[in-house]
Amino acid sequence: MVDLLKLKSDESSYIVGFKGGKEFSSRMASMGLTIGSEIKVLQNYGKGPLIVLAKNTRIALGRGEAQKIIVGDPSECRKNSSEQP
Amino acid sequence: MQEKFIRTALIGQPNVGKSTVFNHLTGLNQHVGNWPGKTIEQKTGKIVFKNYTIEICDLPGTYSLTSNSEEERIARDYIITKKPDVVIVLLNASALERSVYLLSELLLLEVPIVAGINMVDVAKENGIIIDFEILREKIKIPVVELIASKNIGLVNLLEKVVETFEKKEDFKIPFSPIRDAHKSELDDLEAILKERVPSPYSVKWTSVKLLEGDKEITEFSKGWLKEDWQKAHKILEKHEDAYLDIVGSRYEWIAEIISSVVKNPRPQEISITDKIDKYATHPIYGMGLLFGIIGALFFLTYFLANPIVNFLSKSVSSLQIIFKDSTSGFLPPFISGLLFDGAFGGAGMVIAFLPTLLFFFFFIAILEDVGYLSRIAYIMDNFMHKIGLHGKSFVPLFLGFGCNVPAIMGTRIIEDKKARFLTILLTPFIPCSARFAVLAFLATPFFGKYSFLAMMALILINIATVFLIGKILTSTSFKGVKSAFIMELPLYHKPNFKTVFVYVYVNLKSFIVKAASIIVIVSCIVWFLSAYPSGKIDESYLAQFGKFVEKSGALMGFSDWRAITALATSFIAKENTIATFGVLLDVSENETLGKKIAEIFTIPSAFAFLVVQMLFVPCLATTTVIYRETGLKWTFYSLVLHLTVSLFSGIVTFQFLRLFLA
Repeated sequence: MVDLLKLKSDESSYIVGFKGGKEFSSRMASMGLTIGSEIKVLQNYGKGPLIVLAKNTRIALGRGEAQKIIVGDPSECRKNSSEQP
Repeated sequence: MQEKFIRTALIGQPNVGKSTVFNHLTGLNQHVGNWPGKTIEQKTGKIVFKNYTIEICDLPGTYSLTSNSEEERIARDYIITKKPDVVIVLLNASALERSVYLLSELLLLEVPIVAGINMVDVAKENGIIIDFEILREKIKIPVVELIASKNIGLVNLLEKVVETFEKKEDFKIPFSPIRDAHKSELDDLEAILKERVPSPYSVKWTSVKLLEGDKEITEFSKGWLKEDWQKAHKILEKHEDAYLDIVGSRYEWIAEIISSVVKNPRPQEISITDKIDKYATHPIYGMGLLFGIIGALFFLTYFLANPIVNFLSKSVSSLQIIFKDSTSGFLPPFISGLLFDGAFGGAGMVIAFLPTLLFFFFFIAILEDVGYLSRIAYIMDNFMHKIGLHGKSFVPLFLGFGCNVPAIMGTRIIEDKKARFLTILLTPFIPCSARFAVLAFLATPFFGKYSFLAMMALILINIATVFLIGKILTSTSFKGVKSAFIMELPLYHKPNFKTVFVYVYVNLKSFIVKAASIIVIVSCIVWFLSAYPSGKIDESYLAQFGKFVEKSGALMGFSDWRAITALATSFIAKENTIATFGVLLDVSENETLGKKIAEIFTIPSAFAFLVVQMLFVPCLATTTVIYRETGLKWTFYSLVLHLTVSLFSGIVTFQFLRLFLA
C-alpha cells in the first residue's frame, strides 16, 4: 500500500483508502474515485499536479490531494476502509 | 386550449454540455442574475413547447449533492425547497458510470426526473456503446439520447419532460441507500427523526445525509431534534465508517447498470485527448503552447479591437462636439455639460469598451468550449501556488495586461469564492494597455535615453508587487483560501458555434446592463466636479481637492498640485492623466506636453509618479465591474487596498531614490 504520488506515469493500481476524512472521500467519490476502483496515473512528473484516469474521466489532482489517496491490492480494501482518521 | 406552465431545473456535472443544452433550449430568451445573496450566477430561461410554457432554471454544475461547496448547496436547496415539476439531469455518455452518481443522489430526493445522456457522438468516437433499452429498464426513469451540440434529441427531451409532468407518478428509489452492514443504523436514525423533520425535507434523505457527515444537515438536525440530538449523535459517532457503505451501495447499483449497459470493446486504445495531452499538459511543451496560445489571443483581441475602439472613441467625441455646438443656442450650459460631457461621455466609454470585450469573450468561449481552459489551469497551478492561488487565476491576471474589465469578469471561471475575490483584488495591479500607454508617454520626457530602463524597472516592480500583495493577503484576510486542486480535464472536442455565440452575447449584455448605468452616472458626477463652481478646471472642486491633498503629495516629491489632480482624474479612465495635464498646463507652440510635464518633477519624484500611476486605484469601469462581481464591501476594500499600496509604493520609491539622486 502506497500513496498515489508513488505511482509513475502510465502506472495503474486500485484505490484502497483515503486519508483526510469524510469530506475528502465524498468529494473523491462524486468524481468517480471510490475505494476498490481502478486508477491510472497519466502524468506524474515529480512536481506539479498529477493527471489520473478513473472511470473514463481525466482528473487533475494537486500533490497534496494525491498524497491522501492510498492505492494497492484490491483485496486490502475492506480492511483499510474502516480505519479512517 | 389554455397554456400550462412547467417549472424545471437543469442539473448536471461540470463538462457535460449543460450550457449547450440550456442555450439551445432557451436561445437568447434567458435571464442572468445572481442567486439571492450569492455571487454565483443564476440563469433562467423559458421555452414554449406545444401548449406548455417550460421554465428552465440552470443549476450550478455539481458532481454531487453533498454540502461541500456553495454550488452544491444552491443546487440541492433549489430542488428541495422550490420543488420543480421536473428535474432534467444531464449525464455524460463517455463517463456514464461517474455521472450516474449524481443521478443516484437525485433519486434519493424522490423528485420527478428526466435523464438526458449527452455527447453520445463523443462516446462513440471513443468506442463506447450504450444500450439505451436496457438502461431505461434498469433506472426506471425516462432516458433521452442527446447530441446537444448538433441539436439532436432536444425535442425528444422536452416531450419526456411534458410526459413526466402529466403523469405525476410516484416512484421508488431503485436501490438500497446503504449496504446491509449499516442498514440497522439507518433504520434507527429514521426512527429518531420520524415526525421531527419539517417539510420539505424527507426523513430518509435526512438520515442518509447525517450518516454521510453532511455539515448543513447535521446543523439542521441539531435544531430539529433539540435534546434528542444526543441519541442520533451516539449512533453517528459509533458508526463513523457508515458513509463508506452509502457511497459503496450507490456505486454497486451503478456498476451493475453499467456492466449490462455499456460496452467498451477497445478500452486500451489511447484516445485523441491523451495524445494531445502528451504535449498540451507537458511541463515544458505545455508551457510553450500555453504562452503561444495566450499570446495569440492577446494579440488578436487587441489587434482586431483597437481600430474599432479608436474609430468609436473618435466618433463619440466628434458627435459630442456636434451635439454641443448645435444645441448651444438654446440649452443652458449646465444641461448641455451634464448631457454631453457627463452622460454622453460616459456612454461613449461603455461603447468604446465593447469591441475589446467582444473579441475577448469570443476567444475565451472557444478555449473553454474546446476544453483547453482547464489545461491552462493545470499547467500554471504549480506557479500560482506560490502566491496561494489556483492555476485558474492565471488566466484573468494575464488578460489584465490588455484590459482589467474582461479580466475581472473572467474570474468567473474560478469556482472557489475566496480564490476568486483574491484574484479580483490582484488583477487591477496588472497595468492595462491604457496604463501602459501613459507610462510609455511619460517615460521618454522624464528619463530621456534611460526610459527603456525605467520601463523595465516598472515592470519588475509590478510583478514583485503582485507577488508580495498576493502573499500578504493569503496570509491575512485570505487565510485558508482553498488551495486543494481537484479538477476534471474534459475530452477535447470541436467548438460549437451556438454555444460560443450565446456566451459572447450573454456576457456583453450583462456588461451593458450592469455596468453602463453606473458608469454614466459617475461620469456625470465627475464632470460636475471638474466644471464647477467656476467652469475653469484649475478652480474646480477637483482642483481644490488636488490642492487640499498637496501636502501628502510632498512625501512622494510631488510639489505641484497638478500632479495629484492628474492622478485623481485617472480614476475615470487611465489615459485621463495625460489629458488632464494637457488642460492644466499651458503648452505654448514650441514646447511639447511631455516636456512641460517633466518640468514639474525631479527624477526621483517622476519615477515615484509613474509607480503610483501604475498601481493606482483601478479605473471607473473596472471599479464598477468589481462592484458588480463582489458587492460594496469588497469594492471599498479594493479601493482602499490600491490607494494604500500605490501611495505607499510612491513614498518608498521617492524617499529611496532621493538618497542617491537628489
